[in-house]
Amino acid sequence: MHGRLKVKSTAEQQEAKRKEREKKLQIYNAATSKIFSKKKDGELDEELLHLCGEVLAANPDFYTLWNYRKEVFLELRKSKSPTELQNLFLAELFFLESCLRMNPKSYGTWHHRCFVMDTMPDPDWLRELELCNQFLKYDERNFHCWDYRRFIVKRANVSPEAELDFSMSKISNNFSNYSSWHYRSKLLPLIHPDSGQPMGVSEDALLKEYELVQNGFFTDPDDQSNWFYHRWLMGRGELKQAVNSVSVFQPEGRISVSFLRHVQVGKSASISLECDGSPLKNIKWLNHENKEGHSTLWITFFLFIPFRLIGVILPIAESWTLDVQLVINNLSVCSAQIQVLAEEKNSRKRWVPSGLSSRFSQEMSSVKAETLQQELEAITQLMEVETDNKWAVLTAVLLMKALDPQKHEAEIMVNLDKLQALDFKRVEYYKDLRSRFIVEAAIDAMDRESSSLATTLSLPHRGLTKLYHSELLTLLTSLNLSDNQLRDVRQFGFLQSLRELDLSNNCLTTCHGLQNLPCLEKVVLSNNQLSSPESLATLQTCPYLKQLHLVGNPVVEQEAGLEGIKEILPGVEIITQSSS
Amino acid sequence: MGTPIKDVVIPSNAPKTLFLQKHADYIAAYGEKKDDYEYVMTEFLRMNGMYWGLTGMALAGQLDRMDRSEVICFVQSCQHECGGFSCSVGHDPHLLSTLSAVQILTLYNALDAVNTEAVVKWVKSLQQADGSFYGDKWGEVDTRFSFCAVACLTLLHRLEELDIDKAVEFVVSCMNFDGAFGCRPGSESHSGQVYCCVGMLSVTGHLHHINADQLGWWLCERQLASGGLNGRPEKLPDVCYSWWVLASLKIIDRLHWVDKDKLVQFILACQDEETGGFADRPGDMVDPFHTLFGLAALSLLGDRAVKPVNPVLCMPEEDIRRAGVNLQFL
Repeated sequence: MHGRLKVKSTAEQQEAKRKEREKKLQIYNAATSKIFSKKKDGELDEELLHLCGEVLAANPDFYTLWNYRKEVFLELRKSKSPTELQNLFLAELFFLESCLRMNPKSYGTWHHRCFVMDTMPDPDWLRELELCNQFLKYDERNFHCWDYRRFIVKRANVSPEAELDFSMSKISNNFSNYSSWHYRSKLLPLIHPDSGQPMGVSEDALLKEYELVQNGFFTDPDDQSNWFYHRWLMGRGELKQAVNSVSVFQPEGRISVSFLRHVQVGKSASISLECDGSPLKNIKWLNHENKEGHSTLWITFFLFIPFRLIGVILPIAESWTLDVQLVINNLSVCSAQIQVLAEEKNSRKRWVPSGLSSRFSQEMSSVKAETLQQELEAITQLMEVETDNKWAVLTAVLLMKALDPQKHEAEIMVNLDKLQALDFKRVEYYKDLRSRFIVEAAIDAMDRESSSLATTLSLPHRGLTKLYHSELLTLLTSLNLSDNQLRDVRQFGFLQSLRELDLSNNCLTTCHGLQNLPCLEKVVLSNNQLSSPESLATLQTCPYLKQLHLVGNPVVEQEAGLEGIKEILPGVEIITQSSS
Repeated sequence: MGTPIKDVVIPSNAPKTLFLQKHADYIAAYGEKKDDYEYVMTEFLRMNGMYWGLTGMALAGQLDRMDRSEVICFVQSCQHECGGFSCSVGHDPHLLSTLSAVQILTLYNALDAVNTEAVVKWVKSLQQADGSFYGDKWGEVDTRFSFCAVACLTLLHRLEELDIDKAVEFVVSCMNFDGAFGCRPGSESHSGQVYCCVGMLSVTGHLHHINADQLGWWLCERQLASGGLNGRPEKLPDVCYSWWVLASLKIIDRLHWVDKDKLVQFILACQDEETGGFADRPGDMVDPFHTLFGLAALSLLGDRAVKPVNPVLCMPEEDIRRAGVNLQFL
C-alpha cells in the first residue's frame, strides 16, 4: 500500500465504493475460477491468455497468472506458424506496455517482458531500447526499467560507449540522478579498462569524471548523488594479503598468526608451519573466537615434547626458525619467518607494509596525490561559498586523510568536530570516524618506530567511541583506553597478547568480547556501567586473570553483586575501592 | 538548479505514542474478513501477508489470538509436490512464499507439519551455476532469492546442502560503487536488497566481504530531516525502510549512526489511531506489511513494549533462539 493517501469519505461515497468493489469482486472471482479450472484441464489456449490478461491488467503482481501466460505461449509455439506467433507476441508486448504504464514497478511484468523478448521469433531489440528511454523519461529512477535496459543492452550488443553517452544525457538533464552515476561506475571499467588501477579504470578517464562531478556539486551542493560518486572516484585500494604478525608462546605451545585480510583456514586454505625447515604436520587451526569461520587471526597449539618425538629436534637454549606460509588452492599467498629463542616465553614479530607513507592511505585512496591535491583545492573553494555544507567538509577531511594524515591531523579533527555540529543526526558516525582516524594515527606511529616491537598503546582522554583495527593490535601487551566513550569491547578478541587493559571511565555495560584472552592478567573497569555479575561472565574464559578493578560500577554497590562476581571469578582479586 | 530534497512534514497532531493493542486488533481483524475486497485481491501474496501478520502478533506478544491449526493447515495445503510453497492454494510455488511458509512454521514450532525434505530439495534445485537463485522455475534471478534460499535452509538446519561459496560469490558480485547492493550484478543499490544481501552474508558467516564503514555511511544517509528513512538517495521516506535500513545497520554494528529519537517519531507518526496499523508515511492507508516493519523497527530501536526482534530473520528473537539458528554479526 505504498503512497495511498487516506481520505475521509461520506457515507454515500462509501456505499458507492462498496457497490463498485462488490461488482469488481464478482468479476474477479468469476475470472479466476475459470482460469484455474482451465489450467487444471490443461486448456493452454488463447482464451486462457485472454482471461489472465483481464485479471493481470488490474492486478499485475498476481505472479501465477504470468506463469500461465508463459505456459500458453510455450504451448502455442508448437502449433502456430512463425508469423502467427510473431503477431501473438507483438500483441503481448503491447499488452505489457499498457500494464507497465499503469504499474511501472511490478517485478512480474518486467520479467514477463524479458521472457517474451527471449521467446519470440523476431525480437526488435532497438524498439525496446526506445521504450526504456521513454519510461526513464517518465521516471529516471525506476530501477526495474534500468535493469530491463541492461538486459536489452546485453542482448542487443549495445556498446558501453553508447550507454555512457545515454547516462551523460540523463545527467546533463539533471545532475541529481543517482541511477545514472551508478551506471557510469559500471560502464567506465568496460570502456577505459586499466587493471593496474584498483577500480579498473584508467587515470585519464577518472580525471574527466572528476571534472563532471565537480560541475555537479558546484551546481547543487546538497545533492547526495554527486558526493557519493565523488567518493567512489577518490578510490579505494585493495589491501594485499600478507602476514601481520606471528607470536609463539612456548610455555603453552601456542602459535598465533594474524593476517591483513580475512581467510578461512580449513577448506581450500591452509597455514603451513616449518620448524628449522621441517614441516609440522597435523596442525589444527581455530580462529580467535575458537571457531572455524573467516577471520584474520588463527591460532594453533602444539606440544613441544611429542613434537620432538616426531623427529624435529629443538635445540635447547638456542634459537630456531619458524616459517609460516598461507597456502590457498595449493598456491602460496604470503609467508613470514620468525626467530624463536628457546628461553624466550613469547617470541613475536609484526610486519609493516612497505612503500606506503601510511598503511591506511591505500584504503583511503589509490588516486595520485596530485589529483587529490587539486580536488582538495576545489573543495576548499566550495567551502568558502557554502560554509555549512557538510558534504564538502567531509570530503575535505577524507582528502586530507588520504594526502597526509600527519600533516593535516589538527585540521582533520577540527573539521570532524564541525561535522558533528552541522549534521547532528549522524553525530555518532562522525565520532566513530574520528575514533578510527585516531587509532590509525597511533598505528602509523607504531609503524614508523619499526625498531620497537610496539607492545604498548595508550590513548586516554581521546573521545574514542570505538576501537578500530583491533585485528592489527595482536601483539599489544598493554592497552590504556581510559577516559573515553567506549560502549562495548566486542572487537577485543584479537588482543591475544594483552596482559593489562585499562578501560576505566568509559560507558561499558558488558565485557562481551573479552573472551579467550590467553595472557590477560589485569583489567581496570572502574567507573563504567556494569550492573550485574553476568555482565562480567565473559572474563571466566581468560585463564590468567588475576586482578579486576570495578570501582564505581553499579554491580559492586550491592553486597550481592560483589558476592556474585566472586562466585563466577574465583581466585581473581576484585578491587572495589580506589587506592587513593 | 538544485533539486528539492524529497521528504515529508510530520503533522503536529500525528500520533506520538505506540498504540500496540490497536495494531494487534487490526491484524487479528484483517485475517477475519476473508470475503473483503482487499483480502481477496491480495491472495497472490497471502503467505507473505500471513507471515507479516503473525510475526506482528508475535512481536506484540499476542500470537495466541490467532488460530494456530487453521494457519498450519493453510500452509500445508500450499505445499506442492516439488516441495515449494505457493502464496495461496492453487497458485504456483515460489521462493518468496516458501520462506514465509517456513518462517510461519518456525513461529509455531511446527516444521514437522510439512515435508521439509522436499523443501530442501526444491530450494537446492533453484541454485544456478553462478551461485544465484531462481525465484521459481521461470528463471527470474534476484539477490532477494539468495536471501530466501539461505534463510529457508538455515531455519531447516540444512544450509550445507547449498553451494555456499558460489552463493556468496554471486551476492558479492552485486556490490556497488557505494558499498551497497542491488538485485543483480550491475543493478543500482537499494536498501531492500542491502538487507537481503547483508542478511545472506550473516546467515552464511561471510560478513567480512562488507566494508562496514562504507555501507554504514550510505545507510545512515538514508535518514531525512523528518527522521524517516528512504530506500535510495533522493527518495521519499517509508516505514518499511526503517526496517531494511535499521536491520542492516544492526547486523554490521552501526545502528547508532542514525538519530533514533527522530526515527521513532517518524514511525509513530505513521500509525493510524482510528483503525490501528502503520502506513508507509503519515496520513496514508495502513496495511499489514508496514505494520510488521513499523513494529519490528521500534523493537530494534529499543521499544520494550515490543518483543526483541531478530534483525536477520525478522522474527522474535526468542523463536530464533529456540530454533537454534546461528547467525553472524559484526
